[in-house]
Amino acid sequence: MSNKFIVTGALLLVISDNAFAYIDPGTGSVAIQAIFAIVASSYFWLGSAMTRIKLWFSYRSGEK
Amino acid sequence: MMTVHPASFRDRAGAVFTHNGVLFRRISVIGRPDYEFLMASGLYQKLSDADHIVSHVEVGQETAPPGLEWSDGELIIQPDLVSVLVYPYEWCFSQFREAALLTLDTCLDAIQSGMILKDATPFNVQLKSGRCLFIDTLSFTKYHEGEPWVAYRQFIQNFLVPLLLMSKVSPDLNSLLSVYLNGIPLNVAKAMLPRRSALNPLIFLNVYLHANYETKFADVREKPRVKLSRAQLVNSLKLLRKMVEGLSLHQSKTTWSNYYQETNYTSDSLAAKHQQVLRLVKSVGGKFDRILDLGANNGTFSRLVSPLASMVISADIDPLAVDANYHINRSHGITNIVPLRIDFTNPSTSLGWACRERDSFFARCQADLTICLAFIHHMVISANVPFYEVARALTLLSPNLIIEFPDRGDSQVVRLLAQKPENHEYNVEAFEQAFDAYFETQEKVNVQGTKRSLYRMTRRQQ
Repeated sequence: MSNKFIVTGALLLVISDNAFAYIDPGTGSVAIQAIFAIVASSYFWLGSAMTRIKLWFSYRSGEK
Repeated sequence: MMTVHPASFRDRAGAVFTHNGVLFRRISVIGRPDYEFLMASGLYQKLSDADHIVSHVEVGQETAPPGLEWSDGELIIQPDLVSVLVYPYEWCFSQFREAALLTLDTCLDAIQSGMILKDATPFNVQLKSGRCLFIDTLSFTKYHEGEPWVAYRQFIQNFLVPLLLMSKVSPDLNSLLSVYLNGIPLNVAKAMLPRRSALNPLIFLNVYLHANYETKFADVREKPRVKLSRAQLVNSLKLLRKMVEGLSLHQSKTTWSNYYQETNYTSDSLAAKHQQVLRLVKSVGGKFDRILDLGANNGTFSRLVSPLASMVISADIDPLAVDANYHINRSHGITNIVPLRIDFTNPSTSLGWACRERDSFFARCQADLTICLAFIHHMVISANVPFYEVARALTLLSPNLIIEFPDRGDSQVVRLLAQKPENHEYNVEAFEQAFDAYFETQEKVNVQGTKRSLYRMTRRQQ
């Protein structure tokens, strides 16, 4: 996955300031963990999607 | 007599103690449900079979040693012993990275079995048989779907940040953990990392933004209501793993990292030194429990003497030399050498709660024999420590000593003395006189083809 995507995703999530406004001391970490979890899931989802696309293309080129 | 280990007081789930010199772990009523789940879920067996966690046996009333008692509802287990405790501020980069990967893998395995690690500190990992081993059986707790990882920040501050600093700033910066025993503060990490590190989105998120959020939410009082699915949690751990795995040492050369390539020995004289050292060690007699090799560089002589000892503690100040030592031992399948990074002019002291939580280097690393090769001139000339002080310090470590003395004509000594006054105290007479007050010389031999001598000494009764 391109770094640009991660940066954009993280920034979009960071902008939502009020979402974690109720969190107790020290749990700025929990907010970060939530953002990181979304980034991580996107990373692996995209990785797996790319693999499938590549496989599909290689299968198609094999057919020809 | 029962003595609770001074580092084992924070976890209400249990404590490590010794009873008549044997190590046990008490599992309290609070810790028992998680322990029983760990055993029943098959997680312990899986980790133990993979040599990822220290193995243990449960102590029953009928097998308990005399005098060992415990309350109703408690359990006692007897873990396998780790021969020597080496702390994360003494590790090399590769060991640190392996410990971080072990922690993440253990956490991923735990999640598969319905558990999770409730803490993530490198003090839960030790080196045994040449490999990292998780030693805290009570770090596991039941995982509840939706809960974030409670040890996430601890992992970042105790594993990821030290590794980033070692990788991107200086390979010895894990020594900061001796100042920040509970993890390097994110603001400190942010200030120390090169600015370009912030261009990496994963570092930006976990260090820079994390530091800002900690400050931002410092005064908020409500309990967090953030939920993470199991898949999100697993993906986070896997991505952290990928980050850690991708880290490497940026610096490739230090003062002593190429010592054996840039040495003043010819191959004949080096072979002669090998022979002499081996003969002198054998002449001390018997099989050693422990040999301490000070100034070990990449462990060449530690490996030479390792068949003669149950364990060799192989210490050096140079982080890259210690890293090379770790790699060579791993690639040769040598399991009884413990490499550690120690500045002998400023070794690890007793640290932590009541100054008893983490023992000093001198308390942990006593041995039957100390070997100091290519060592004394650095202490006396570079570090300005008088001969008698070096001798006195060495008496605290072992009753036997093999020490090399390079004479003033040796090229390394000439180089070190170049910036010193001409009447510098460094000479063989001063060395022998100072050491004679603390050690009795049993044998002295010259290393063929060099201006160096080897001494075998025994400690005098004080």
